[in-house]
Amino acid sequence: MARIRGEILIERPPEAVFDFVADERNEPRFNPQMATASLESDEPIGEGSRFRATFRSVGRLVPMKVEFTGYERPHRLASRTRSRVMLTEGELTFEPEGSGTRIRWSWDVQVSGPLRLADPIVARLGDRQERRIWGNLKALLEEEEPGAAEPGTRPERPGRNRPPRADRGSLVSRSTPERRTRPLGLRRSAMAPAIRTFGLAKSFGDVAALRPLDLEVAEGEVLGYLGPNGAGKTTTIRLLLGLIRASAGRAELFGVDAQARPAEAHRRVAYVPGEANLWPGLTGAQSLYLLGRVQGQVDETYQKELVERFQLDPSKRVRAYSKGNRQKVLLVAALSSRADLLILDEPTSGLDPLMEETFRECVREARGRGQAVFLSSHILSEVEALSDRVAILRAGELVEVGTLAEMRHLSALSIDATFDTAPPDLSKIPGVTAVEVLDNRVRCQVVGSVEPLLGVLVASGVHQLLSREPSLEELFLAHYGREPGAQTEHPHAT
Amino acid sequence: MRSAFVWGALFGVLVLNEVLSYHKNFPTAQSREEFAHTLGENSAMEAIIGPARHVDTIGGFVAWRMFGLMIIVGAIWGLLTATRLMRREEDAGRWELLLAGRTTRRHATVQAMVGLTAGWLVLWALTAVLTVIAGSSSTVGFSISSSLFFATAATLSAAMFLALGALATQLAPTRRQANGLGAAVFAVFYLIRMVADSGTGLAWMRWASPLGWVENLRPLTGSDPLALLPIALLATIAAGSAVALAGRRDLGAAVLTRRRSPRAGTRLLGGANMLVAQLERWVAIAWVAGLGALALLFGVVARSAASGNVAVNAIEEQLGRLGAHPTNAVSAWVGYEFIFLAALLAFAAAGQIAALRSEEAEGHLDNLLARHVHRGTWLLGRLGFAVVFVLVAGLVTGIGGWIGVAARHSDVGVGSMLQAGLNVAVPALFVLGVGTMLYGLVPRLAAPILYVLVLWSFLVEIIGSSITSNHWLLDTAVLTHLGPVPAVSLNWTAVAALIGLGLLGAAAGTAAFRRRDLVAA
Repeated sequence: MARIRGEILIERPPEAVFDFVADERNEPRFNPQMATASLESDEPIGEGSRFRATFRSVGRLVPMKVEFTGYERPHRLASRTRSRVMLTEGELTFEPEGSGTRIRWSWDVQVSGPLRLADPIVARLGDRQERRIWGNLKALLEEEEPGAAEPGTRPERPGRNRPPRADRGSLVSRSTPERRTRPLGLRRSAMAPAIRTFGLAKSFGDVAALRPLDLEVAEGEVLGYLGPNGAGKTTTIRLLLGLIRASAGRAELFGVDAQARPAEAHRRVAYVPGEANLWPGLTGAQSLYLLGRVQGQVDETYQKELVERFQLDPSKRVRAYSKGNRQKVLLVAALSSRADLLILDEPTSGLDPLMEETFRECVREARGRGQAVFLSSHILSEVEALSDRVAILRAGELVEVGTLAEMRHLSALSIDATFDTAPPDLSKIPGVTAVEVLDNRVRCQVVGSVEPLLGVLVASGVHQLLSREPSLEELFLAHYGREPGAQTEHPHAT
Repeated sequence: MRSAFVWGALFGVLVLNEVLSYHKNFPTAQSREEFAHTLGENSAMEAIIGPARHVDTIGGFVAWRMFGLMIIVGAIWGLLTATRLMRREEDAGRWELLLAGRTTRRHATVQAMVGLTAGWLVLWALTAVLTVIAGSSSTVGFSISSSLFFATAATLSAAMFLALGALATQLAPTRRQANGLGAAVFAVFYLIRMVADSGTGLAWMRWASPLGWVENLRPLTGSDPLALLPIALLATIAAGSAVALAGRRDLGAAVLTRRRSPRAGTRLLGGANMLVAQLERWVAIAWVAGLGALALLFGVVARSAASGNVAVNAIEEQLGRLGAHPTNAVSAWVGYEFIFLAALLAFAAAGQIAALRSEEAEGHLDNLLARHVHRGTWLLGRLGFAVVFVLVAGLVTGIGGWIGVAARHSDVGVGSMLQAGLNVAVPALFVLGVGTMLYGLVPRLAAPILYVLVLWSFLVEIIGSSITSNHWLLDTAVLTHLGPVPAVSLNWTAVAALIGLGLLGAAAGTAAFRRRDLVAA
């Protein structure tokens, strides 16, 4: 007996009433037997509400489907395995969190018969295909225990007997047979980050292409990786993928050393290179098939949908594709793998604006499913729109990393004030720099508190006041070639 | 230009070699007359490499030995050079950069043709210079004009196929298809010439084949420049058509557009290791078929070729310098000819390493190694395919040769021919192992070094023993270490040593590949 735990945050609010129906009909492979569960709530579900559901299967392997209505479209949370794994009894909780719902589950799992550890265990969420919440049993068996040893140490080998878990109440506890496998779990708080680097560096001869880099990307996070040509972005990606050897330091993908065990580290990774170097003699469809087989997993329904959304004709040979269409093949291949980490190097290179927007939608959906994205791009608006955090690289060195809000907070605010008469002298106000006077208008940058400046502006009878946080472009350009305090033209001046 | 230099030097060196060996092999007038008489009855040999005219003279001997070979090799060189310069560069997008400048497609094609012509001139010049040098000896006595005419005639097939290759690049959408089209044209020309030279009273058919026109030039045996006219006309029309068509088609397109193919299969796309079968299967099949056909031909003509005592004596003396002392004239002849097949298969093995490197250089490998694919598994998968290809080619060569000799009731057993086939494969296996080592250590240089190694081995094997008896030099040739089976028994010690060294090389290369950076072109 083993227990599977996990949680997911979905961007849907809970509704008033939920009906849980466990229906095995979705899985014709198994010998179906009925299993039911129900939940009711006496009060409308809203923020702070908490409820539980229990369900039990009867007989042999029964995939559980939980369906709750009240949404625009019915959503199903179901389990489906290819191995002979039976979900017996467990706990499922739904908690409102912000505008979404955090679903936690904890199920006992009974394994019987031949078991293919590499078979995926999936959960279906929503009308479309599933997010692979549980990975596969093999991956789960190699998961580290919570609070386990330092990163980089090998996880415990499966099969060791562990003491029974502490009861979590009558809904959860279950008597177990004598032999118990190591508890399986995917507790998000204890999981290794999607990417973690420890002083990762690369030199080509005397040229330091990447200076020691310490960076972390959490699961479900989108990190924008910015830098001019030759800054080391592609070098970083190639180091993460083990395509080139680090001169110093190391990198881990989900806790697996990406340099020492690259093939294993790539199991949960999908990659879109900056150059669409596909095999020219293959068709788009053949390329997708090949990449899917090499990846080891592909959501074929989603892939078909992506082919339509990206308006790709997969029957043509790669050599007949334009650059943008070759890029689409790689994007479709990566996105349809539903990999937990997407490493994208200039992914929209060659795409038209419509397809760029489609790409952004797909990344948002991926983030919503909890997939992490490492996005290296020159398109600042794209990074600004998609990224949770931004890292800026300059000459191989990480010069800035943080959320846009943090970076804006540390940067100057742009002020544009119009007066009825000649504007006052603002140059001596603390925190004010880059003052520029144009007739009755004055522009400046202010770092830190705006109170002193506002006081002067109000006292001087300001007629119109515009303030603007720096755009990502300004933040980015601020790291390249601009001397502090220099009189610079407003970035948007005509 | 580089390849023109290499092949021109090779042509010239081969002519030198024949000139040097002529008096050694045929010291008396009687021996030469006997030789001429024997060849005169050998219609099979004439069908393959052309008629033997005045072979009792040094000029006729050199022309017989080298002319047919240079016609074939020159045509292949011309075709591959033209398609590489024109189609491959266009497919890679480099022509787009040129055409974005102040030129037109037609003008760019003309410039490309000028480049090809310059390459042919280099080929001709080196061949001519070395032939003049060879012929200037008092014992040889070629006039300068006859030497120059020989060089011209020997390289005219290259000129024709440079032009035909350029035309093929306008007709076919890919380099591979252009090569296929050119190869088909060559095969037709060759077959017509074969029929004409088969002694069936159809000699007039030589005028129906451009390769026959080249033969009709009769260099060193009563030069007849009449055939220069149709050759020049064909080359001019082909080149002019290439230029005209270039101006009419889109960049990247072709005159012969392919119809939309039916749904492409995925049977061989089940994973990274099966992909090599998808990518390389036609090349492998073509090589196996070609080697098998050549072996069959050699087997068929072996008995009649070996029936001339003088010819066989020459071969046996050559084999003696290689340390082999055959007892059977047919096996002697087959063993000697199979050395060429071994060199060809080693060349094909080098091509497999080049293809492997190309996957990395062009960035295709990134798509695999960024996924759940081990480097070592991928490399060993590619090598495995190459090893199977080499072994199958060796087997087919042995079987093809045996079918040929058996069809003419020659006294060479199937066991001996299968050993001959294995003997052909062993140098290629060694090349694969060394190639893997080079690929792991110096990936950009792996293919060039391998090609040089194979070429060097071939030259030392064929010519080296005529020039020197220095065994250190001779031992640098891979082919030297394996006897000319079936003229001799298979040298199992050498086989084991070469395969063992190949395995060591492969292991070292795999270990190095797993540790190094992936290197782009």
